[in-house]
Amino acid sequence: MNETSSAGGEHDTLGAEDCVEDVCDLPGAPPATDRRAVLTADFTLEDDDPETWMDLAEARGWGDGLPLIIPTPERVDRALAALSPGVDPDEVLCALPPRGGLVTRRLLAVNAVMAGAKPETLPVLTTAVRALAQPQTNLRGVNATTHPVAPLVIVHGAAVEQLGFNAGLGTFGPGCRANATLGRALRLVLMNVAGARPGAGDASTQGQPSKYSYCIAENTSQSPWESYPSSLGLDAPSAVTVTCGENPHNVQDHDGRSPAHTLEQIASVMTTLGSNNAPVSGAEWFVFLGPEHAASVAAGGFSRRDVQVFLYEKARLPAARFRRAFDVTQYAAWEHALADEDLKPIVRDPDLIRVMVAGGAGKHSCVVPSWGMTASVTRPLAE
Amino acid sequence: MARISIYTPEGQADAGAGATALAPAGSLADRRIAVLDNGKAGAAHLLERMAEGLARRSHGEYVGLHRKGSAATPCEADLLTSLASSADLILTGTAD
Repeated sequence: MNETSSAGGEHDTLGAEDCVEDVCDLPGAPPATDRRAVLTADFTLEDDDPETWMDLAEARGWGDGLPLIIPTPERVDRALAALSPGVDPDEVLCALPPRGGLVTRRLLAVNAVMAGAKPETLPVLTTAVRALAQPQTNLRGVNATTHPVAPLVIVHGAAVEQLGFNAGLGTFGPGCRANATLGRALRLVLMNVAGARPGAGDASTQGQPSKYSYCIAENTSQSPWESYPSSLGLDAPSAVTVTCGENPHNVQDHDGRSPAHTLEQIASVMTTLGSNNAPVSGAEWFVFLGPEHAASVAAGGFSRRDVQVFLYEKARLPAARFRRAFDVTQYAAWEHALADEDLKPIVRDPDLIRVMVAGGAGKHSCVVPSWGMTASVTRPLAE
Repeated sequence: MARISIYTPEGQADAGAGATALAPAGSLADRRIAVLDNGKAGAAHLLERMAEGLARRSHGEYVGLHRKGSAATPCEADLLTSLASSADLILTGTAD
């Protein structure tokens, strides 16, 4: 499998060194793919009035509260029509916790139709769901936690333009059907198939807006560096990354004093003590540089690796600040060894700072802290 | 307005992922009661007081607390195996 996974961090047990092994050793590998789960259109709707459908969906808890497209056999068949010959729409691809819902391409198509997604984006949803089912994402915890975490889908490569994803201005925002409906389709899968409905399956205290839809695209055409998947050693025309994190934390730097100044602004956002990542030194950070920030940083001689190392060096606080804020009883040995005045990095390894370009014109970037005890997965696009 | 057939969006669930039936409780007299701490703040304190009170009232025995590796991940299989052989009743909790 040409796939990459990053190291995850530890959530509530406060930054122990072995967090990488913890997330990578979790149970939950997908079931063997020789299983099938046949889904038939055997539910009868009394009429085709959208109001009737919406009332039913609301009563059954099938949606996110927004209007839904009726998943008729004709629409679902159109979504599946692009599958290559021999690809089984009823093959079980994985099981999603906490419900243990069995994922098939047909079931993904049903939810994609409901979300309003175009048929050609189904492989992106399939790839994202299969990535989320990997043990290192810790989807059971992601779905069930009181934290507001939501999976973010990042589309890379040729698929961005071919399928109409917006990597430019407003990539995190509204206005692009592919971004909006793909992210929404994933959320519907999590609610309907995985059982992550507010309450028993999703205990998020406040939720967050990205639980409606959370999908962007990497702006490779305006990136001074190679694509993110390429930087991981992934050789594929198109790819999908999933990372489970908080909403974006904005970073503005309009002064343009220096590339270092922009990166210091980002480091200052990373050193918030309120984030789930703050007590978890092994957690991932995704840094999405706006193209203008990226251009000025690169013009200053920074490679992607230089950015990672710079942020690792600058995103630090005195160890005493962490000790006042969190229980330190499970800190790793190196964290215990620090003197109160020593600067402790918010993240223990520059590789855990994931850098890419997203968005359009303007002097804004953003940081997405993870949930902590989870690791991102990047996979080549596949049906 | 015509009746139409539609798909439902939930699909099937893995039979192994459902709830597991608890063993019959019976009397707790002379039974071993343990605590599995989920690692959340205050969980150990609350669960230990509950276990001690339960043991006192039911004439059982509180046999100790065990903590799983992280609140955010499932309990380690070897710890569950150990608990199953060393206790008759385990108190635990989820979330905060």
